[in-house]
Amino acid sequence: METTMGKNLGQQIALAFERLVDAFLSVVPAALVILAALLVGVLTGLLLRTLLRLAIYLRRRVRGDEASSSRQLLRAAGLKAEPERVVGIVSFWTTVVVSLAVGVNALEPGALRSVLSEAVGFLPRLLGAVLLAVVGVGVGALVRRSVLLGAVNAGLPWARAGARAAYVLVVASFAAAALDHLGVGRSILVAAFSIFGGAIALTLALAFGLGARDLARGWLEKKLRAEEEESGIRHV
Amino acid sequence: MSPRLPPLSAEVAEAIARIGKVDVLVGIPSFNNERTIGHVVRAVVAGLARHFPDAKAVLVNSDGGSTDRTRELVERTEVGSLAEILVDAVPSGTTAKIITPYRGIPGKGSAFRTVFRIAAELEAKACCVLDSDLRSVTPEWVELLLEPIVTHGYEFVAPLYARHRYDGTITNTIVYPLTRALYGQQIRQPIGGDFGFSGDLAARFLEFEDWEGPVAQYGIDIFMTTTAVAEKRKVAQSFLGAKIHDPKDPGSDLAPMMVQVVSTLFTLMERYEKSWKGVSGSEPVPVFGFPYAVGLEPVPVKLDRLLSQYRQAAHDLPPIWESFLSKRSLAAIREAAHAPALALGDEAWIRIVAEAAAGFRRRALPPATLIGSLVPLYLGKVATFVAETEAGSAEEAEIRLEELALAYEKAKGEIETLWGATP
Repeated sequence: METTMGKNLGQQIALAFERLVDAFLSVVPAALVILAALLVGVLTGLLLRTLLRLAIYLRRRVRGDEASSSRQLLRAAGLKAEPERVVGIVSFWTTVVVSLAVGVNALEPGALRSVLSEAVGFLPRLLGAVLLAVVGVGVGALVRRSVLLGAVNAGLPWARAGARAAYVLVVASFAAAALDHLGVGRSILVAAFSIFGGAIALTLALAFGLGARDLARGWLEKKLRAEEEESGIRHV
Repeated sequence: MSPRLPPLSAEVAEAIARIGKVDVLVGIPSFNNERTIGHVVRAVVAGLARHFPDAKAVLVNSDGGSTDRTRELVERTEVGSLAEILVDAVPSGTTAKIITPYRGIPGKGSAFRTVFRIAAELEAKACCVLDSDLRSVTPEWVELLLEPIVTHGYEFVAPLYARHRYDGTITNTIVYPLTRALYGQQIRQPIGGDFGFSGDLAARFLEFEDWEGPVAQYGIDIFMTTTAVAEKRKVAQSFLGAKIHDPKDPGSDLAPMMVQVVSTLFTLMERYEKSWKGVSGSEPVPVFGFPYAVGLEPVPVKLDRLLSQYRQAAHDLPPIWESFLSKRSLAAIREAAHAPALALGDEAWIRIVAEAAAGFRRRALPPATLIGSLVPLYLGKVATFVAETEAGSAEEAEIRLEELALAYEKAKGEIETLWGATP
C-alpha cells in the first residue's frame, strides 16, 4: 500500500518536473525571439544614432552652423547637451522599443505573449510620460529664467521667489499631464488642479479687482512707465 | 542671390516714375509723432531750399501705421515764407514728398529699409535720415549731413551732438568704445539716429539679408555705422548741436532696446570678423560743422535705483551669468555689489562685455536672455560712472569716457582671444 502511494507520489513529482521543464523549454524560443529583437533593436539603434549624428555633423560643417536653432532651444531650456546627443538618445531608445514591440508580435499566441504585449504596450505610454516630464522640466527652466530676468530688470523684489513659483507651477502641470498620460490618479489630479487654479484666479480677482484696485492701478502704471523715466538716465 | 526688396505701393511706384532721378533724398521714419513731425518737415524743406536750391530733392516719410495726424501733417506742412526763415535763400519750387507706410516688422529699421529702396529707385546721390521726434533740428542739419557727401566725397556721415554726460549711456559705455576698439574709427555717436550716406551705400544697406531681426528695429543705427566702417567707406562726423527730442515712447523700454542694439553689434562682429581682427588703436574721424557749447537739459539721475537694481541682480542672476561669464567676472560683480560704494571698474566691465560677445557667438544662451541679463550690469557701470563724475565738470566726464574707450582699445587683444576661444 505504502509502496504504491510512494510510486504515485514519485510519478506525480516527475510529471510536475516534466511539465516545468516543458514550460521552460516552451519559453526558450520566445526568449530567443525577444533577445534577437532586442539585439536587432540595439544594433539598428546604434546605426541610426551614428547616421543621425553624422548628418548633423556634416550639416554643421557645410553651413558653419554654430548657432543652430536646435542648440538655442536646448540652451533656452537649460540643457547643456548638444543636439546630436539628444537626437542620438531619442532615436536609439525609440528603435529599441519598436524592435521589442515587433519581437513580441512575432511570438506564438499564449500567456507569455499576453504578458509581454501588455508590458511592451505600456512602454510607449511610459516614454510619452517621461518625455512630458522632460519637456516640463525644460519649459519650467525657460519660464523660471524669463520670470527671473524680467522681474530683476523691472526691479521687483520678489524676483527669485516668483521665478521659483513659476517653475514649480509649470513642472507640476507637466507632471500632472504625465501622470494623466499614465492613467494614474486621474480624477484626483483634475480635482486638485481645478481647486488650485480656481483659488489662484479668485485670489487675484479679489486682490486686484476689489481689495486693491487703486494699488493695482498704481503698480501697473508705474511698471508701464519707461525705465528711462524711473532712473533718470537716457540710455541711447 | 539678390536680396528680397521691400514692396512699394502702386502710389509710391507712380510717384517714383513721376519724379525720376533725384540728387538728394531726406528720409523721416515716423510713428505717431504729430507733436514734432511738422517742425522736422519744416526744417528739412527750409534746409533743402537754402543749402541745395539747385538740387532735385525729395522728402520721404516712411510711417509705421500712425493712428494720429502724423502723415497728414507731413503732407500739409508748409514752411511759410522761406525768405523770412532763411533771410538770403532763393527758394526754387516746392520739395517733392513721398509719404508711405512701410512693410515688415514694426521698427525704425523697417522704416529705413523702405527709404533705402526708394533712394535706390530714384538713384539718389546723397541721402540723410532724421528722427521724427526731434525738437532741436534746424535747416543746417540737412546741410551738415548731406554736404560732406555731395561736395567732399564722403560716403557716411555720423552725427556729433552736444549731449549731457548722462544722456546716451549705452553709447558711452558699450557701443562707442567697443566700435572704436574693434574697427579703429572714433565715431562718437554711432547710434545717434540722424545720418547722411551716399546712394551707393543705401543700396549696400538694402542688400542686408536679415530684415526680420533686430536690424529692423533699434539695431538699424549701429548696423549702418558698422557697415560703413567695416567696409572701409569714407566716413565723417557733423556737429549738429544739441539733440532734444520728445520724451521716449513708453513702449520702448531699456531691456528690448539694449537687446536690439547690442545683439546687432555682436552679430556684426561675427559678420565682419576679418575687418576688426588685428586692428589696434584708433584714429579720429573728420568733423564737419562748428562745435560750440550748448546749454543742455539736466538729466536727474536716481542713483539709488541703479544701485539697488545692480545689487539685486548680483544676488539673483549668477545662475544665468554662469553660462557665459568667467569666475573672475562673477567675482568682480559680487565684489562690486558688496562694496559700500559701487565701483564696477573698467577692466571688469570690458571683460564682461567681451565674454558676453563670445557667449553670444557660441550661443551660450538665447540672445534676448544673454543681453537682457547684461542690463543690470550695465546699470551698475552707469552708476559707477555717475558716482565718479557727478561732482566734476562736463569736460572731466568726457575725459573719463575717453579713458574708458582707451581701456577698451588696450583690451582689444583680450577681446580677440576670448572671441577666438569660442569653440
